[in-house]
Amino acid sequence: MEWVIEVKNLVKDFNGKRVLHGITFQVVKGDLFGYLGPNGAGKTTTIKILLGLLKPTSGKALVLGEPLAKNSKIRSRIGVILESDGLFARFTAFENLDFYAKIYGLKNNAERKRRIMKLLELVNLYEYRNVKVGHFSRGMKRRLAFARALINNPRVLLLDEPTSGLDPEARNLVRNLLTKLSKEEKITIFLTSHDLNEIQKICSRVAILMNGKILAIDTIDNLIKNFSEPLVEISFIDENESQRVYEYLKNLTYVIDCKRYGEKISVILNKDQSKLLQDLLEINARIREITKPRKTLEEVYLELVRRGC
Amino acid sequence: MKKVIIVSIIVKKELRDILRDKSLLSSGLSILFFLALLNLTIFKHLPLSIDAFVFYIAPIIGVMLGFNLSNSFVREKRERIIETLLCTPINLPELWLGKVLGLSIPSWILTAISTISILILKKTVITSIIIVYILTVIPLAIISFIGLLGYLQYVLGMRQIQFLNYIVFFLIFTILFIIPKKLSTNNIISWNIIECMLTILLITIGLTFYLVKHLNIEKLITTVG
Repeated sequence: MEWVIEVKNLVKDFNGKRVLHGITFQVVKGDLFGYLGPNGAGKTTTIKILLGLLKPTSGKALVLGEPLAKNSKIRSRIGVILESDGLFARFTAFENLDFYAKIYGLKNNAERKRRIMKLLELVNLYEYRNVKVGHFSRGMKRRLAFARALINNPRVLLLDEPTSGLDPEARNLVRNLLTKLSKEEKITIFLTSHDLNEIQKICSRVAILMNGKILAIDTIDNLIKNFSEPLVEISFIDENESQRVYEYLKNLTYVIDCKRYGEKISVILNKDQSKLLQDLLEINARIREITKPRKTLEEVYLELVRRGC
Repeated sequence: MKKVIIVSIIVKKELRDILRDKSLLSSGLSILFFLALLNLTIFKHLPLSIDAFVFYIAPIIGVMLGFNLSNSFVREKRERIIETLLCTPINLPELWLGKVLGLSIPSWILTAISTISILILKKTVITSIIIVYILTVIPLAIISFIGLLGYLQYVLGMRQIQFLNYIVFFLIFTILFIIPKKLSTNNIISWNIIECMLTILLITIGLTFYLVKHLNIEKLITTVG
């Protein structure tokens, strides 16, 4: 397995206070990994340690197999968006990207210009290429930061709240772009976000962090599956039928809980739903619809955070 | 070679930034005002030695300009742009060196122009020793001052930086207060003095570079708030 990001037993103390308690996770090539957690959970600290801006107290944090702190060669293969957009207010959008492109060693003038124009078009800022960034709105700056992070054609993107400050249209643009970069170009993306809907839409795997500890780490489907109760909702043709079935269900041993709301019954089971279906057929229950409601990532997250507290 | 290219990119960026900065205009105007004031007051009443003027006043002009422009270090730190810069192939010593040179070049050019203008206005013969002084000691004095100030601004927290700025400002004005008493002294600049000053300034620059090279980036990042 090719690990692009590897964090092992990562511990970080600030002034004697432990903010990361031995975190371990790996991100494979082409993965779009979401890092979730409430404010102060340690998300930004983890990203800054990965980037070599903070030193780990113990443990290791590697990107492309190396710690980034003293490795400018590896740093030239990553793209970054942090809390600050990293832009110069007195420079135009074009000049900002031109500066970073030169730093990354894009020497050929024509090629550099072509790449900058392409990225400005990608983030819908081509018309504003000659406007000083100081005159940009928060959202425009964030979009330009996104173009800046892509200027070196990175193999890894480390993004701290990349869509904060963006309007819904721009969020959608960034979301689609991240999905495309991950799927088509196999760029590994590590991002933190408070927007759980966004994470659910684009990420393949997530880690949920709380008070410097990872509470859960898995694919979104597995997380939802593992944290969803075996709940089944059944609609009947009328209330009399639902009452009849309710009386029957509440006496079954594998039914943990059973609630009736008019024509509907919610059943929590301690085993697979196939046995329930079999029993319902045996009593000739007149069913309109059976559904198995899934939890959202947000519900799983809130439950985990509540438990973590 | 790659390091030289990165430093030169940062130097060009600083120069471009300074040209668009209104504070440069205000610095230039302040210097003009300062020189006019000197001309109308001290120079008029004291038997002025050109030697002493170049020795004392010229570096002070450069330091004042450098002090004004060195705000660029704090701005990049306060706005956390430095975090993004350090995630690129730029290393901290390259960034520091590029910024120091980028800020020192315009400070030195303005200092040299204003010093030479005064000398021409005073109808003074500009000797070779004065030219060497302006071409070597003054730029190195500016570089060492901006370099040291930049290093301290990297290391210190925002409140401490504010305090540091007050101290530097106070020092400049104290020196300005002391200088007029020395302005009539003749033959201050000698080849020995130049040699001695160059040695001290080069050691200061080298030492500051060493400190920057061994600066803990975490210290820089965590002193922003």
